[in-house]
Amino acid sequence: MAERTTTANTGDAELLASLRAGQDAAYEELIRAHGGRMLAAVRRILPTEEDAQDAVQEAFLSAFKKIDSFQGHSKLGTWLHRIAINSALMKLRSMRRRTDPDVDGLMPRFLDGGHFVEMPRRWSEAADAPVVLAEIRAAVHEGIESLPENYRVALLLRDIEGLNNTELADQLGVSINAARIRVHRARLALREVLDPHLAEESE
Amino acid sequence: MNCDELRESVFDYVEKNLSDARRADFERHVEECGPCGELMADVRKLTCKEFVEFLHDYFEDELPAEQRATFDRHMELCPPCRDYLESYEATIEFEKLACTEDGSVSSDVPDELVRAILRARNDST
Repeated sequence: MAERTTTANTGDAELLASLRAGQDAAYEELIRAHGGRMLAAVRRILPTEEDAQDAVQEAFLSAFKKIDSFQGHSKLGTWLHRIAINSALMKLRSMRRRTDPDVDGLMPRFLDGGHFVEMPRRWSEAADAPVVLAEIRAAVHEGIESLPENYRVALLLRDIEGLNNTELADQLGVSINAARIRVHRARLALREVLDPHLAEESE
Repeated sequence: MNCDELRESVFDYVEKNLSDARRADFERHVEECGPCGELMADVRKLTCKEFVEFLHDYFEDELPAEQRATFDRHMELCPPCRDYLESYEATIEFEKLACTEDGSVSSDVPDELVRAILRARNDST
């Protein structure tokens, strides 16, 4: 089989060889090279910093055990990122859930016949002023927090972590269509939360 | 009412905002004008509720060409749905803005965590 090392993967290949040879320094390098990104991802999913660090630790330990069977079909970083997300989701599932709001109550409303109850308003284009941006960021975080857990996770994994629909369906344990609809409804709910902050005042 | 006026009035007609007289004009024109008749047939294929419900399919280019055309047609004639689509796109942009420029993006692993992981590895080998 021809060697498939690209510039991006050459570093990976060398590190992988050192890891498989059991070199301690290589393990530390792996953690420092990829741990930051993994932490960032799981911090969004899990409620506390302690939970996030625990998840990253579990992810690395799991990866260390599997290092011999890593095929190199994806980059090391991508592989670790997936393991981290998996670890975070497993941790989330084991936690006691707060009572979830019903997503239907967060959706835009329609009359019989399919008309909007309230006409959607244009959003202001003056949204890039620093003051407004800070307000929007706070509103986004609040909005994401207020989503039912399944919807919150789906939104984060798709729009922020960049999982494709197949990967997302896999992680959530649902069909691709169900996963897509979950993301869509999460976005609709979030839009409703942002609307009061962004809608242009009517004349 | 001519065809241009009709196109501009479609939204108000659907929302039942037209006066009785104008409504009668509208309906008469639709009956008598082939292209406008087709337009209204098209309009009736998609309500605003359905537009919103399948927006993600439109947005991610998962609609067959004919349905995509129906969506495009709906947006031409329905300003609120145009605005809604823009706000949907903006929502996604704001999500990314909010979630990737805060502290969760730090690229350093705390030293204690590095040590804890290495310790745990050594404990299990």
